[in-house]
Amino acid sequence: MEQNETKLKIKVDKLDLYYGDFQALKAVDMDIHENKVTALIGPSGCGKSTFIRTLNRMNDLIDSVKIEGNITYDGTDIYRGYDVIELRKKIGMVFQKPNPFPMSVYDNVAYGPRTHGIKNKAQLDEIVERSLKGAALWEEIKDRLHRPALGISGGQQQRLCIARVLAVEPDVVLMDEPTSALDPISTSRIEDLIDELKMNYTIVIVTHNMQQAGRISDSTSFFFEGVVIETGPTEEIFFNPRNKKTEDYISGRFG
Amino acid sequence: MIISEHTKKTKRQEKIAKGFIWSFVVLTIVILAWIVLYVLFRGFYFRNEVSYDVTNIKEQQIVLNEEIEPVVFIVHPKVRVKDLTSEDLSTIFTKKRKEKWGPYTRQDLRVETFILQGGTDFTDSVIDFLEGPEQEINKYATTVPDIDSMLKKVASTRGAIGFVPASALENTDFKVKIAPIRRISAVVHPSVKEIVNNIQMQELSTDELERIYRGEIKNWKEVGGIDLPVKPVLPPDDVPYSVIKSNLLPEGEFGPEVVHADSFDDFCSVMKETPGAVGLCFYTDVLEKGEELSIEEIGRVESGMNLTIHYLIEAPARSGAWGGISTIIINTFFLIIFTLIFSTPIGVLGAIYLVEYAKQGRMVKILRLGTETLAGIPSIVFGLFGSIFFVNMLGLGIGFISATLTVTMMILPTIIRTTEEALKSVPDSFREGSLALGATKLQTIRRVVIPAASPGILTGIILAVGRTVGETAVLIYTLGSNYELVRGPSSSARVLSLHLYNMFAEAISFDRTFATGAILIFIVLLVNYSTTRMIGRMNKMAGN
Amino acid sequence: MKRKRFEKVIEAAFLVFASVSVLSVIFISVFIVAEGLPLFKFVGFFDFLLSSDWKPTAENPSFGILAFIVGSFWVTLGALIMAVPVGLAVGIFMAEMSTPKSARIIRSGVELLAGIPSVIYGLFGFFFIAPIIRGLFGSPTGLGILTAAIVLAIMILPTIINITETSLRAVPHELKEGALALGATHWQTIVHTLVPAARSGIIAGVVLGIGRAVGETMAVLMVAGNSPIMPKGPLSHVRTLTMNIVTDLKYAGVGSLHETSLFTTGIVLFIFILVTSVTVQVYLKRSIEKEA
Repeated sequence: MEQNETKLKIKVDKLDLYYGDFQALKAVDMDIHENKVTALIGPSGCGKSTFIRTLNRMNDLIDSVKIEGNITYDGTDIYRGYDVIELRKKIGMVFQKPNPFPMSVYDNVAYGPRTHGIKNKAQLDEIVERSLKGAALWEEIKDRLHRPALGISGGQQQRLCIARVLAVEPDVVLMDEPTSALDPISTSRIEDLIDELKMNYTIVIVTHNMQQAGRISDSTSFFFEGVVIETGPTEEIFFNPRNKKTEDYISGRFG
Repeated sequence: MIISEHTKKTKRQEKIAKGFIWSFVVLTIVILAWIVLYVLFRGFYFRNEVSYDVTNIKEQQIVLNEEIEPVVFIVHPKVRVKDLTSEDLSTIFTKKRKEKWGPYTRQDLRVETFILQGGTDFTDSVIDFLEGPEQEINKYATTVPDIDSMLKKVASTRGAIGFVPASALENTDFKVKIAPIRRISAVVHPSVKEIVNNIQMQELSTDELERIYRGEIKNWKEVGGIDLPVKPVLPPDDVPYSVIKSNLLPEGEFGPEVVHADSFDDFCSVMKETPGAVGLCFYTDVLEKGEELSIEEIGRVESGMNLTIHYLIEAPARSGAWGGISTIIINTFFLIIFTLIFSTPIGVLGAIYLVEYAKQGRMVKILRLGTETLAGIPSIVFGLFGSIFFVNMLGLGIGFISATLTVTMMILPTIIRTTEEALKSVPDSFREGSLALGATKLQTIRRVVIPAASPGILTGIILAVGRTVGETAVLIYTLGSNYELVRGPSSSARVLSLHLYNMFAEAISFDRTFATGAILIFIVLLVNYSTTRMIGRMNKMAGN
Repeated sequence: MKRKRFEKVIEAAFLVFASVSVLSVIFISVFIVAEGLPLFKFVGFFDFLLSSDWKPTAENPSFGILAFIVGSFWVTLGALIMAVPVGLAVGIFMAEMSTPKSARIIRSGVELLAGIPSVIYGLFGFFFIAPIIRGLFGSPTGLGILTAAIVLAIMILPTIINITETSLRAVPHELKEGALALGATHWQTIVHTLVPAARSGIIAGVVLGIGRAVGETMAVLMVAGNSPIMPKGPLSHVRTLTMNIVTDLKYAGVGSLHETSLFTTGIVLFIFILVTSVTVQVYLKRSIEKEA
């Protein structure tokens, strides 16, 4: 099968996560393959967001979080083998609510590269153009590069956030419900974008919207109460789930 | 660890930047602690260097001559005297006007002098000593017939000072206090005080004097004078001069260079003729010998408790130089009460309108803008306004009414703001619950909202109190500087902040300025502590 | 029915109380302006502001307050130079770097600093700071612009710290997350994202601090030296606008031109404070709008 030949980008091994005394993730195993879209589905509060945030160590921000288990990226442990700043250059994140900085469009996209030491204007110009094109936003915005980013529409803002992430040239792009705050048209544009992006990047996407997962992902994992109930190629999960809970969720019996 | 060069660099930059931040935080904390501790320390403990014409050598029993008993000067126990110079003593008994203890003990207390009936050798010698070469005991001294009545009078008359033979104190029941006397002066040959190259010998410290006689200091340049060897001289061993030697260095460890004179005349001639000479004799000797001997000032450190219970309890005198600050504290208290009476209703009720009644539109914005603007007006503008409008134009005069009205305007924003916050933080569910039970809006406010918001409202009031107590610029020209107890609503009355400023600006007493400052700091600490507790209680009630 | 009328009356009464502030402001401003304007019949507007000749009691009196404007300017500027970096730093520390408990402790400390009466600051400046300045720079009294600026800096520190902390905390959490997710260090996030996002609030805080510094009277009175001529350097004795009013009010004759001129000085102060007040309101509103 195709999946066995592709490289393993991120391997999660027996991950346990505790918020203080409460265990939010239980013995999670997951393989994330290169240049594939992996979708994480499940009802609210089941740990999908918590899980995806572990992959780029955003959970480090919370004091009460305790993690046990192994997560490796390209074979290196992301806690013991990687500096967190470096890691986040490689594993980027797009959030649920578009969060452009209160600066111009240009400065938003250039933020990442500038932070990482690129000062040359010509270089930055090139990176900004490339990233905005990669996010399918360039044509719409190339004449308004230096206007405030907060002045564009919600869908455009989210694509801007994607461009911002692309500007740091990551390997993996994590997306935490990236379209749940957007209208249907913007949603479908971003779904098309994801389809293009997977050629060059590895995508992990958390989504509430099962149809979305079905449309764009290659493999899907179903989370329930902190445990991965089932993982597999998307068609199998959706049309031939092995676990009853999975089937119940897919058919809308709960969640 | 996979980490790029650039990331290492930014992490280093981060460390340095955060280091700077930490140092600024530490700086701020240190500044705060330093100001508070500095004022408290100097408020509680004073330490001054004062120079006198006499040394620090204190005698409790004064040997005047070999024929009579040593004399002891006694005072009433309430007289807080540490010691007196022989000049002080003289002044007390001979001054042409009724003397007060103020210049000596800072007490607002009249001196009552008592002398024994003349006729005995003892009494005559003492009177001679007190009168000096030119003065006379003044008319205010009361004569007592005998030693017992002297003791009785001194023990029972406030501010009394008298004298008895030393033995009289051994078996008496009367409670009197002994006033040690300092009468020994240091004198120097004129060469010591010469100015060479802008250097001149200033005062000697008590410690330096001792070291000179021990032989440890050999040249005047070691103590700030010119290059001239020191020649210490001592008066003879016969009474009364023997006390000088025995009191200066009781162990008798005089340096080898010290010249011991055979007689007083010998002492004087050595002093006159030896360059670099320093000697010790009685202050009265200097007065009597005229220009032959010249005095070297001796400095000593005077320290002690500054802010004492006495200071808080006694009334001020001489614009605060003597006595305490009791009336000022009471005046301050009255100012607080008056101001609260005016400002609390206006502030709290006004805030209630803004939060509970007003429609959140243009009008509320204007009212709030008015409050914010009022908050920003500098205190001196209030002072100017109050001074001309209330004091002059309305003719209310300098006094409590003018001051209260002006201060009210000034602290209104504080009360309104905090009350507003407090009212806003009362959950709407309280109000809805009360209204749903059929209560009117007013009843709801009175019975539910205000009690729920009371910690916040009280916080505002406490803060307003704090500001009132600390305010000076507004009060200078509306409240005046009369430091007696306020007499009526329009009388002028000094409060703590004004008192502090007055004593500072007129250089009346820096020690007392700090003592007043310490009290102010205490009030601030108290205000701060209470508001923190109140806010804590507010948070608990809101379920935080 | 009776109750309804009663409640309406009470509501009206409350309204009256609420209006006291606005009425006071209006009244005070009208009063100050009315009392101060007549000076301009005697002295030209520009002469008043731009001349440093202040001789109100001379035979031919002159009323130029330039020296005082300059005095206020320099002590305020000096105070800002010292207070803004420190205030920003402490605000950043409390909002982003400290534990909640330390933040609380420091906040109490800052509140304490804010509550200390100005005469105490003056006392501290005169007895502790002035001797240091005397020793370090050889100034004869140790009083002057530098000492006053140091004292004022300490006094406006709490204002700047408070507003900086509040503004930083008000920045939406998502902005910080977005920056961190791009691989920025904590410090980079603070400098390039949080502080710029909190810009309006911080500016409001600084302007508020300026207002406080210009309006301060007693502390500067005790440490600035009170010399009514143009200052020559940071160690010069100087008199600010506020000091002018408080010093001269004592012996300006009632109803005299001298007294009027003090009100005119008051007008200048008043206008300045109004401008800063409005600016603060504008910037604070801007910072709240950003959130929405």
